[in-house]
Amino acid sequence: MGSSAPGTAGVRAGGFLSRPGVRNPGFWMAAPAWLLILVVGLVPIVTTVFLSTTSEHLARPGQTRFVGLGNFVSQVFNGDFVHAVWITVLIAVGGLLLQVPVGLGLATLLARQFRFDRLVRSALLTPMMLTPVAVGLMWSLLLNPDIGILDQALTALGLPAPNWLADPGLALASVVVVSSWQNIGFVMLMFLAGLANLPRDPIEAAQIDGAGRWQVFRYVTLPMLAPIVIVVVLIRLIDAAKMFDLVLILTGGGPGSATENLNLVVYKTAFQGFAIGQGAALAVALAIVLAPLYVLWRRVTRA
Amino acid sequence: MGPLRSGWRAGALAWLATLALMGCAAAQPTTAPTAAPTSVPATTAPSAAPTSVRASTAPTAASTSTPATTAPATTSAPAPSAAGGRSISVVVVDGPSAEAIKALAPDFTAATGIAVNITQFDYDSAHQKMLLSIQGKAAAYDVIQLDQPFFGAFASGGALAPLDAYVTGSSAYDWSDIPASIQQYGQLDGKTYAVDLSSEPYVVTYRKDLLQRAGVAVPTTWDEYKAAAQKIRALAPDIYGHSTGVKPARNAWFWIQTLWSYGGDLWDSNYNPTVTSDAAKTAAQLQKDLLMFAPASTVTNGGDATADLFGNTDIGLAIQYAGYYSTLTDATKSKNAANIAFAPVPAGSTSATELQGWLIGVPSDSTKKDQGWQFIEWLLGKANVAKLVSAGAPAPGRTSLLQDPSLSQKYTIFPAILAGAQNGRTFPTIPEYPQIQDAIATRLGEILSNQSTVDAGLHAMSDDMTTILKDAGYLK
Repeated sequence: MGSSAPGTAGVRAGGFLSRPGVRNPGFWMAAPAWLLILVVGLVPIVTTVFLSTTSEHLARPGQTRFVGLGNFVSQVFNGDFVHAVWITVLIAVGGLLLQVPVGLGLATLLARQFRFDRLVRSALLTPMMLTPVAVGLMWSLLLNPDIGILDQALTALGLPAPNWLADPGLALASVVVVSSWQNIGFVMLMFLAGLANLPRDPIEAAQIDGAGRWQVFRYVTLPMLAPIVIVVVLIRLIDAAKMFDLVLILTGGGPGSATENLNLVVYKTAFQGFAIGQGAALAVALAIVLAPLYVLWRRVTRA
Repeated sequence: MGPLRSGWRAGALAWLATLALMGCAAAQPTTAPTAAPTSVPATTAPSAAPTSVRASTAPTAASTSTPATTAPATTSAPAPSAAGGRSISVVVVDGPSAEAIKALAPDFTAATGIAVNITQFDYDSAHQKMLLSIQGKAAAYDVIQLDQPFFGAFASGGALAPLDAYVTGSSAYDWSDIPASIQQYGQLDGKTYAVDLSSEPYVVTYRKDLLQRAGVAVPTTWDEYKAAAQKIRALAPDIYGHSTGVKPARNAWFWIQTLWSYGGDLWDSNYNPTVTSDAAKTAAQLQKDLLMFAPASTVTNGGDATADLFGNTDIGLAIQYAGYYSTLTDATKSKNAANIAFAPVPAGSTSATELQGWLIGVPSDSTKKDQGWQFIEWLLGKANVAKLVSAGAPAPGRTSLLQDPSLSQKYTIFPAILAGAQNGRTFPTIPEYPQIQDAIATRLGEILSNQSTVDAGLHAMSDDMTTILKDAGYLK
C-alpha cells in the first residue's frame, strides 16, 4: 500500500469516500437534508410501485393480496388507457401550439419599452398567479351556455352560441385554451428573459448588412433563442401532461371521456373508486409515459 | 485537523441537531386528522374540486354546475368548553342538512354538556377524506355524514360501527317509527351501520302554471312525462319542458331510476351485468330524448344548478331529489316558489323510486362511540327531528314526522317522501359500487354527447362493469 496524504488515513484509493464531491465536508453537512429528501421522495415511489402489484382497496382492508401485473393488465393495457394517453397528448401539444407562438410574440412586443409596458406585463402575468381551481370555476361560469357572458355576447352579435363544455371537441379545445390563458404569462416571461440576455452584436451586424426586422428575427434572434424554446417546450409539456385540477373543475373529464387525461384517470380510480392498487398501477404507468420527457429535459439542460 | 475530520465532525453535529429537532416535533400532540398510512399514488393530486354535486347541497350564488367552493375542509371554531371538557367531532358535507346540523349543535351542547366540533367537507372530497382517516385509525371523527352510494364501501370496509344495539335500545330514537325500507337504507347483511339523516326519493318537480298553460296533467308515466315536456317546450323559445342536470354522476342516478322503472337492473343474481337489456336501452334513449326539451346547460349541470334554473327560469318539469324542496319553495331563493309543486316519480312498466338521502353514523375508529350515538339520537329522535326540518334540512324518513298533519300541511313534499320511502330502492351496497357508478357515468356521458350510440355505449358500460366485478371476485 502506498503512502497516503495527511488527513486521509483510512481512505481507500478509488473508493466512494475518495470522490472529490464526497470528500467535501459540505456533502456530509448537508447529509441530514438530502437524506430526508431522499426518504420523503423515494419511500412514496417505492410504496406506489409495491401497491401497484397488490389488490389494495380502501373498502376492503385486510383483504389485500399480491396480484403481480394484474392491475397493469386490467387498467393499463386497454383501450381506455390509450384513449387517456391520447387526450393527454392532445392537451399538451395543443397547448404548446398556442402558448409558444403567442408567448414569443408577446415577449417580442414587450421587449421594447413603451407607455404602460409594465402594466401590460403585470396584466399578462396575473392569470399565472391564480390557482387552477379558481381558473376552472371562473371559466366554467364564462362558458355556461345559459348564463355565461361569452355565449350571451355571441347571441347578441347574432352568432351561433355553442355549448362549449358539452361538445367533445369544443370541451377539449376549451381545456387547451383555458390552460393556455393561464400559462402564457409564464412562457412570455421565459422568452422575455431569453431576449434580454441575447448578445446584441449579431443582431446589429445583421441590421447593418441590411436585414429587415422579420429577417433578423427569423435568422438571428430565433436560432439564438432555440435553447430557451426547447426548455420552455419541455417544461410546458411536462406540466400539461400532469394537468389535473383544471380538467377536474372545468369538465370533470367529460363529456363522457372526451377530456379525461391520464392524471384524472389516476385520481378517479384511486380516490373516487377507492381502488388504491389499480390507481397506483396507473400512476406508475403515467410516470413511465412521462419519463422520456424528463430524460430529454435533463439532456437539454446539461448541454 | 484535516478537512475530512472537521467535515465529519460538522456533519455529525448536523445529524444530532436534526434528530433532536425531529424528536421534539414527534413529542408535540397533533390535533389535525392524519391521512391513512396507506401510501397514495405518486401523482396524487390535491383533493380539490367538486364535480357533480349530490342532491340537497346548498345552492350557489350563481347558477353554476359546480359548487362554488373547493376550499379545503372548513372547521368551525370549537364550541365553548362544556363542563368536564367533553366533546365530539362531527363531519358534515355541504348542503342544507349540514347547515341545519350546525345550527342545532349548540342546543345539543346546552342539553348534554358535550361540545360539538364540526368539520365541513365539499361533496367530492368528503368520502375519500373520511375513509382515509378512518382506515388510518386516526380517531379524528365521532359522527360522520355520508352519501348512500358510498355506504357499501364504508360498511364493507369496516369503517362504520354497528348501531343495532343503539337503535333498538333507544326509546328516544324509536326504531319502530322508521319504515322498513328506510331502516334498510343503512343496513348491510342485516346489520345497521348508519341511520337515515334525510330521506330524498326522486320526485317530479313541476310548474303548475306552465302545465296548465300547456294543457297537460301531472305525468304519472315516463311516456306522459316526455309528451308533457315536449308540449311545454313548444310554448315559447325561452320556456323549457324538462331539466334534470346530467353531469356525472347525476346522469347515472337518473338513468338507474328509469332503468328500474322499466323493470331492468344493473346485474343479475350472479353479478352478470344486464345493462344491455331493452330496459337499459329505453332508459338511455329516454334520457337522451329529454335533453331536446331542456336548456343547453342541462348537460353539464349538477343538482344545485338544476334547482337554481328551475326556481328562477321557465322550466315545466324536472326530476329532482326531494331534498331540494326547501330551496325550491323558498321565495328568497326561488322566484317561482309559489307555482312549484311535487309529485311521485313517473312509472315505466313498473313503479320504482330511487331512494337517496344522507346517512349518519359513527366511525369504527371513534373512541367516543356512545357520545357519538348520543348526538345522533338527540338530532334525529322523535323529540327534535321536527326542529331539524325547521332548520332547513330535508326530512328524515320517520313515519310520525311524515304523517304529522300540521307538518304535512306546511311541508307539502311529505306525502311524496312517504310514498318514496315505501317503494324506494337504493343503490347496491357492494364496496366497488363507486367505481361502477363512475363507469356508468362516463359511458352515459359518451351516449348523451353523441360520442357513441346507445347500443355501443351500453356495451362499453357492460364491459367496464364486467372488468370491475371480475377484479373484485364477483365474476369468474
